[in-house]
Amino acid sequence: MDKQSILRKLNLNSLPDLSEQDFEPASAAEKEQITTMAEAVSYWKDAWRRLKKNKIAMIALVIIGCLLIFAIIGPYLSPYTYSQQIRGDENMFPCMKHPFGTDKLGRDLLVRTMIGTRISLLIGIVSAVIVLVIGAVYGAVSGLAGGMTDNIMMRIVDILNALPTILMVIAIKMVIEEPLNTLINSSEIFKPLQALGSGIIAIFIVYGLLYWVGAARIIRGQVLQLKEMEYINAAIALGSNKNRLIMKHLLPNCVGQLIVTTMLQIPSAIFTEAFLSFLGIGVSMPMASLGSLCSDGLNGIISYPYREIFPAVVISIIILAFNLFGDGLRDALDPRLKK
Amino acid sequence: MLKYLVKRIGTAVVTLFVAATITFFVMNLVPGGPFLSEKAPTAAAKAAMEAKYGLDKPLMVQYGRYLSGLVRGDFGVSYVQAKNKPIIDIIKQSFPVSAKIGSVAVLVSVLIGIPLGCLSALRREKWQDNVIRVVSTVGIAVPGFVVATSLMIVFAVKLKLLPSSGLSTAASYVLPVITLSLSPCSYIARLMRSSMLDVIGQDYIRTARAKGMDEFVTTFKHALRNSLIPVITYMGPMIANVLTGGFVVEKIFNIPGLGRYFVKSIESRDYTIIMGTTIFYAAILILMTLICDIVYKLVDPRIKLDA
Amino acid sequence: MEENKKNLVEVKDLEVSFFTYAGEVKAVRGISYELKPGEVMGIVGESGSGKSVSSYGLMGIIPSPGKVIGGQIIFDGQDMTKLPEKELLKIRGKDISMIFQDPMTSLNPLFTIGNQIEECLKKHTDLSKEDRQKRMVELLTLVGINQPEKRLKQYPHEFSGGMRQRVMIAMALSCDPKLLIADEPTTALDVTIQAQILELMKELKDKIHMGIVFITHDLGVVSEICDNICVMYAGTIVEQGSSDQIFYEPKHPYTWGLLASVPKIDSDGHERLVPIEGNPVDLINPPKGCPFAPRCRYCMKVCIDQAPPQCTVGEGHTAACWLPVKEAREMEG
Repeated sequence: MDKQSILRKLNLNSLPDLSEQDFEPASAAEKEQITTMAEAVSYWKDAWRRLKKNKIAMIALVIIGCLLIFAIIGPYLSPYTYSQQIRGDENMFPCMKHPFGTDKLGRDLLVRTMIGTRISLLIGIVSAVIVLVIGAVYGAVSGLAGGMTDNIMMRIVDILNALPTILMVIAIKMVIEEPLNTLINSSEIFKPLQALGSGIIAIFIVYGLLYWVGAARIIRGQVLQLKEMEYINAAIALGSNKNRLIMKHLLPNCVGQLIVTTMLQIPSAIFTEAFLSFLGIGVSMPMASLGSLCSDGLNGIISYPYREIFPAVVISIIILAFNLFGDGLRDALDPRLKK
Repeated sequence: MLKYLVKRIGTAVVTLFVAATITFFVMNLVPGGPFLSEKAPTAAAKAAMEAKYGLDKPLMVQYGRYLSGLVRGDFGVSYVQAKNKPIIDIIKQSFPVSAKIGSVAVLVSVLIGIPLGCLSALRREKWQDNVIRVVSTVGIAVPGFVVATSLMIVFAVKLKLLPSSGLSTAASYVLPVITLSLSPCSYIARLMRSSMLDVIGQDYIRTARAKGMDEFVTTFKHALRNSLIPVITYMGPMIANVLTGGFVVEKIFNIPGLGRYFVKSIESRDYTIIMGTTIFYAAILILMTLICDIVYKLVDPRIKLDA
Repeated sequence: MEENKKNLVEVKDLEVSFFTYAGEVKAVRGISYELKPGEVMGIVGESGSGKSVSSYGLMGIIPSPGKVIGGQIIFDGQDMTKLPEKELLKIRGKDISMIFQDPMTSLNPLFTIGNQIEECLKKHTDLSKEDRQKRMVELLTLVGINQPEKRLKQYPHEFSGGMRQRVMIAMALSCDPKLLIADEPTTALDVTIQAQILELMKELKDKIHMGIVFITHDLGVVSEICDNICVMYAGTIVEQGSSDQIFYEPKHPYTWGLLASVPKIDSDGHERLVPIEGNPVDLINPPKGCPFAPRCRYCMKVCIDQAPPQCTVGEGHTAACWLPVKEAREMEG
């Protein structure tokens, strides 16, 4: 046990004092200990960690939360309702009684902005979900069918993509709104829809008809990719049902992308609705959306700029917050940026 | 290349045909028929008018007529706003106005958006990048009508620096062009940034650096051209959009372009104008996409041989 | 006599870290090696072992957010880690050049290969336009590309993978570098093409007197071409020695593992490859003991919490492992 001779032999400068015991084989548990310390982080945990580091996205998330509270709970806390015309309070500038002022009919603009936010958010979220569902089904069918069917379905997508969407939206919306109105007022079955008004439902329909192309492409791409995967082929060779197998793997593989597209679809839908309302073909009166409030505010903007400013600021914040959060989410979920 | 061109133009024609068809049938779903939204005084007068415009014929015959008219450049006539005025004349009259202001806006967007995007990518995570990202995100998020009205209040009404409507002087271009180019400019900057970052991460950029090329050559020779490709793809729809006139911009600034006509026809339910404008816009959009696709192939030598 | 030659490259205790959102990833944790002119050094390790990053350090092109945080890289008497960017630009592509793993993506798709090779000549030499053209034709001929005049006017997509790698090599050789870094030059290629490119590199090594750092994850590839080999694991060099020593007297269990997973061309093909089990360690919190311990079949208690010493196990042959210590103890005791 001559330490010096070992040092000389192996050309080392120093060696810790070690006992015979140290050179016994390590147990599996001891080896395990090191690996668990360096445990691999799961995709979602990793993504969440990255998202939390993204200050802008987190601020956007908080803002979205506040907006939701503002839109959902806000109107219940207000002494007025959105269609209530308060005599004597017409054309009031922002004051203690009406923080956002009133319009020329004496309606409180704070509660109208709250309701407008609610409607705009509702339109954004519902439209995005409709688009997601239609797109996902279309994309999955196209990808799974393959061959000629896929080819034709994708041609249709190409054509839809080349259409001037916003004009189509306007044209279709103008056309379906009236028959829709007649339809929902014709029967008791549609009672819940009557509250929304035909304007909003028409927006959902038009949006669902024209905006699903992006989601369809993502899903189809993913299906095609999965079809090529070795493990899928191996499982098929072992007798699994191919389509069912692909569906099972599909969702976990593209859920990240879908969340991001949906997140970015929400502001786009809100934007579109605001645009339509601004042109006077959005939600029907006396319902208010942020777009229609802005449109109303434009008349008399010089004397009463606050009528335009408040809803305009809220709508800008909504779109900004969803865009920023969507961007942050994309960065967090994109594994390519993992390094 | 030729084969590609033929195929591409073929697709464009089919798309335009589909757009025209959808528009026609959608418009014909309007209760009471699209062409006569105003009430005719008597049944006889109504029948006479319908006969005059061929509206008493079966729908398919009307459709055939409409399509053959389109091929000859005949978009029909306006029924509400300007009685019996051919829509093609309205387009001829108002489109140049939209196109003039639109091309200025396109130029501004490109000339500002691309350099900003590059700067943002090259100064990634530095203050320049942060400022550009915040401004461009806001530029995309704020709806056009908000931008337009804010600009109008501040510069035309309060400061009285610039005219608030019309297109009579050079100064009157300023506000509409800013409004029109803010969103595409922001979008180009963001697109340019992400595509530049993508390209900078490519292996061939590493090769260029390994060859001893300085930052300037690496950026402007090797990265810029490659990263312009996605921007070119976006340019097609954007140019079409801006050329045909932001509806909102023309409405707010009272500019006699195609956009304002379109908005007016919506308000007055002048369906033939809506139909004609939609198809015209579709044609412009499809044409611009076609041009951009061809330019895109020209920039990228990889495509030439296949296709 | 060979021994007296000055070193072309001396890497001393090089440390490189990537500063990511998750923390500091210690990609290279103190590696040292030397290379003499005309020698070929193989750096072998699996992906993530830091072998590529250490060579990017040689060129000063470590991608962001990576940084050299310690040690020196002496090339031709200058410390590359301390040189200003301006000086580095003069060395890169001229005295040190590099070929990369994936020839399909390493050439700019939008420029002709003539343009891309000429760029290098323009930057680093005073040759006239005609001379540059002559030189490029000569280079393409050297790397075995037919019809060089015509090929120079073509775009990368008109070349096959193997041909592109030949172009990359021609580009790297254009200014007669003293050192060539080959970062997995054959990994992305088909097996037959791999053999051709290796053959070419061997030929060139004899024709042109330059040092080569050959990076690969495949021990089979380096066996014929390298004089010396460093085996890297988790950002450290675990074993270092001459090619013969590494192949015939390996001392580190990781090297044993690598050798066992090399397919032997002379075997009848039925022999099973033995993969090394387990995954590499987390480089954000590297273990204080031996990084290979969790995957090591011979892991001892001491390996878990004591970093292994650099044992000299032969003439110019070192291994960072506790096993030689154990052996020495047993022999002594």
